[in-house]
Amino acid sequence: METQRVKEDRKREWWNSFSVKILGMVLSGILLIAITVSCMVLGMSKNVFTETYGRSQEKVFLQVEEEWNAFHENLQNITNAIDSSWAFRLYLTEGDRFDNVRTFQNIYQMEKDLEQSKASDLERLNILVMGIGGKHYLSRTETITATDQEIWNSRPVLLAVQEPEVLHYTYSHGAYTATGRDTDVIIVSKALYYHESKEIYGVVLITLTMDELKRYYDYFITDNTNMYLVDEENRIICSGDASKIGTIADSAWYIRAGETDRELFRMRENGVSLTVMQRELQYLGCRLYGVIDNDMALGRLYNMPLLILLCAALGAMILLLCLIYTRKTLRPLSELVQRMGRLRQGDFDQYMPVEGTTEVQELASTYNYMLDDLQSYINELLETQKARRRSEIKALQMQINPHYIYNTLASIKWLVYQNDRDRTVQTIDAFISLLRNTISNTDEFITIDQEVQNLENYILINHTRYGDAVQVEFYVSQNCRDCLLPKMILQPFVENAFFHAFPSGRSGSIEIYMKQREGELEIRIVDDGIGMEQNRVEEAVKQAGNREHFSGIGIHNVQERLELLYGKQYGVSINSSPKEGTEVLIRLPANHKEEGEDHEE
Amino acid sequence: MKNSKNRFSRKIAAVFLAGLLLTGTGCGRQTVTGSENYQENEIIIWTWDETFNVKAAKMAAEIYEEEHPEVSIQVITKEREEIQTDVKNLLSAELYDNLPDIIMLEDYDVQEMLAQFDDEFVDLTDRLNYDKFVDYKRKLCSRGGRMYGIPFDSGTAALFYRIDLLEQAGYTEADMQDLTWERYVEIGEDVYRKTGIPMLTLDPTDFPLVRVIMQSCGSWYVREDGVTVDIADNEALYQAMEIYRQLLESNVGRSVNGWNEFISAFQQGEVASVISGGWIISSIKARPEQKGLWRIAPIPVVTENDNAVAASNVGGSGWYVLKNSAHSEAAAQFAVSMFGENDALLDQLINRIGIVPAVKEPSVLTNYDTPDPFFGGQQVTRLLTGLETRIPVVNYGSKTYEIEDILETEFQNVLVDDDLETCLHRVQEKAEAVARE
Repeated sequence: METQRVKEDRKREWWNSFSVKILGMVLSGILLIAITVSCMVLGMSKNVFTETYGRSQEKVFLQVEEEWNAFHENLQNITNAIDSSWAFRLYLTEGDRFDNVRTFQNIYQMEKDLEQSKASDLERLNILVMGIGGKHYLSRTETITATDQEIWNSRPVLLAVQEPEVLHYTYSHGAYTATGRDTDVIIVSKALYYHESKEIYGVVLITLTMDELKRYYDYFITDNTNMYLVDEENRIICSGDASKIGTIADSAWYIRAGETDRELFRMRENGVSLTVMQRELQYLGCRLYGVIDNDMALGRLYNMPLLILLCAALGAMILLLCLIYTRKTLRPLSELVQRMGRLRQGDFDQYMPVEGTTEVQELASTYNYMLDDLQSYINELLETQKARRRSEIKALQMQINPHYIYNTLASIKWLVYQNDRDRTVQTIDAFISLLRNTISNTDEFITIDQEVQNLENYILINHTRYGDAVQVEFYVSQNCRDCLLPKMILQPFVENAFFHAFPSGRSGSIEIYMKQREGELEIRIVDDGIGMEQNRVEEAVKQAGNREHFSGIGIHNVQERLELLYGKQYGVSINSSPKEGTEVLIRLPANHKEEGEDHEE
Repeated sequence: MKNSKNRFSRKIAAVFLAGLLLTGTGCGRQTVTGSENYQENEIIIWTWDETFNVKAAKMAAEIYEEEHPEVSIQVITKEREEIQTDVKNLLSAELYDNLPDIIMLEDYDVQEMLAQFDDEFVDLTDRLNYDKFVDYKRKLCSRGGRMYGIPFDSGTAALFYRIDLLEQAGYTEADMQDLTWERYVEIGEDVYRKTGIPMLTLDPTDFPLVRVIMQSCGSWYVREDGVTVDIADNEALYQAMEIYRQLLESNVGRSVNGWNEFISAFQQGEVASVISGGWIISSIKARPEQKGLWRIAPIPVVTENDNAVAASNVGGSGWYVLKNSAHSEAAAQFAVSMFGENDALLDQLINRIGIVPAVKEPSVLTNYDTPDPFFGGQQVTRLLTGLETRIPVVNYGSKTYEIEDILETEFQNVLVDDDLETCLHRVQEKAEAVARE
């Protein structure tokens, strides 16, 4: 439960963070711009492309139209040449009347006449000329496979006879000669007739295979562009799409083209955008159509996967740059957040380096100023508090418990009653010295020697009052005799040992060791009394406050006092074990009394 | 503020850059025009003559397809000149997509094609044992010591005649043996007088007869080197033209126009004989009702010429594989295994189309001595291959038809002013211009 909530919190925090928000905005911005710009550009260029592509294809289409017309003209030339050639006319009508040599010459003349009329690219045309009397002329080295009857009854010939003035273009599967027997062909037919009487004496049949025709339109044909030549009966007689040849045109674009007289229009058929061009080829008696599949042409134009990939790559690049940049900008801010956290825990040393953008620099320096102010206020406050406490303790230090005075005086009175003059004087001297050192000497610090003297006086009085079952020994090393220590800090421990370590008149000894080591003053107060459990030491220290003391200082505030004076690293530690005794260790910095300075009155 | 502005402008720049790149890539692409390709593994063969070459190719295709189901073979009938011009056009334009894989070339055209497109044909030297073919055919398809193409039919010339028509005029089979041209004309005049039927056809636009006579005398339009024009002083040509004129003027040779009439004339009994290559047998046999009416004899010889023999060649052909076609390698394998090494097929072809094999040892073929009832039981193949070895070898050069065109034109003048010698001199001049490389 707990961890989940933490997780959720962290998640919320992450979503809420500055960089995530910026990145989110940038990402959506990029997407928005990329999509709109792409759509716009695509849409625009699609129109422009369709327009220009259509237009350029229209030019090509016009060229196809021209080619067809030029081709027609060439064929016309050939039929005209045959028509006006006397050699042909003689051969077809009265060839048998000549002798062999004349025929030989005549045939040669026919060949020459025809040769001259052929355009250079139509040299190998399949031209069949038939006379009404059954004479044949075939321009190529092959044989006629159809019978005369079949030829005369074929559609091209019938059309030519019907309308002898013009060339007829007829689609046919299979022609009259061996080479065209099994293929799609266009047969161009023209009747030969006497111009006056209109009597027909022959017919010219030019067979064109689809392969031959290809060169007149092949350059127009692409995967997305096609050409259709449609005759008057709606039959497709020639097309780039071989499967359509010979079929009846019935697609939507064809019907639409029939309805409109526009030479170029756009339409949709089965969801495909088409540009359709149409021209009437008057000489051929056919209509020429160019159909462009715009979508396919466009598909060729745009490489969608590449486009998307490019967008994604650029987007990722921009995002990465943004990420790096915002990270860089925001790093000082997040550091500030961390430092402020530590600040709350009381560490006032969390200054910010002044760097990054202007705003962040401003923020950092303001924060630093604030930190300075805060720190000086707190220091001031601490100082005041310390001073107050010090004066309090000083006051306590200088107090002597009145009970102690009564009791001591009562003991002295008892000595006087016993007439023990020496001890009386001794005790009164000790008491006087103690009082003077405590009350009259206003110095806070005294030397070890003085403190030892005070303790000896105090012990003497104690011995007077309670008997000398407890002996106290001092072991003071020479190098620390002139060390300074706060007044009255050892007395409470000695007092404590006297009264608690040796209950009900038990005898024993207290040993006090003082020495200086590595700049520290180490004082040990060791008794061989009853001791206690280590875990009860704390409690015992607290209880010690309730009892009658010599002065306002008890073991409970010695620690506080030392801390106030020297800092946390110094202080008191107590080790005790039952039936073995207690050892008190006091550690202070070793400050020697300076020469000439006198703490005594 | 400055920073954020900066970032925004950078972003805009990036988006525009992206846009630019996109339109840039759009413009760079080209639409590819799909050219019409033939089916995968489909070998395309262009050849002519439906009764002969086309039939042979289709037979070979059938056998090969059965053995190699992954290969399909399409035989397309085209006109001889058309094949040559189309292939020339495609090769010079390097439109290899539309090339056929195998083409047939007539022997006269081979050298011209090989010279003009020296790196377009598959070199078959090491794939085929050329020793089996007769020398003159082997020579025809070689260039620079390398062999291209596979010799097909030999084109051995012979006299094919209608025994029934000749018998009507009183001639027998024996009369048609060991003929001289004088005798042939004589018989022809007699036949025409008696039956009204001429002996053979003459086409003013094609002189195969001239070529037959010339080669029978070991001579050609060009000399041995294939380049030097040899017309004005060519005795054999002069004699051939003289014979030609005689045939024409005496009505022994009937004027016809074009291939179609040439074929239909003998098919319909309008002439009593044909002097042509062995390949004509298939066209003769196309009329089954004339079975038994035909006979074969060696061609007449030119008496005045010492080199003359009764054997010649006309219009044989061979198969050539195009190097840069779509399935060149498959086609080469097909051609070699069928037309190069397959004796069984050759055997069948003798039977079916009457091919005169261009091999040195035709006697190994089963159908070699088979009597042909169509020709009154004559052993046609044996007879023709017998003639084959006697054919004088000539170098056709590469300008045969160009020179012949000139000859045809000038011959028209001979018919008017009657001077053959001047005519041949004029032809010599013009032909030299044409033949100069």
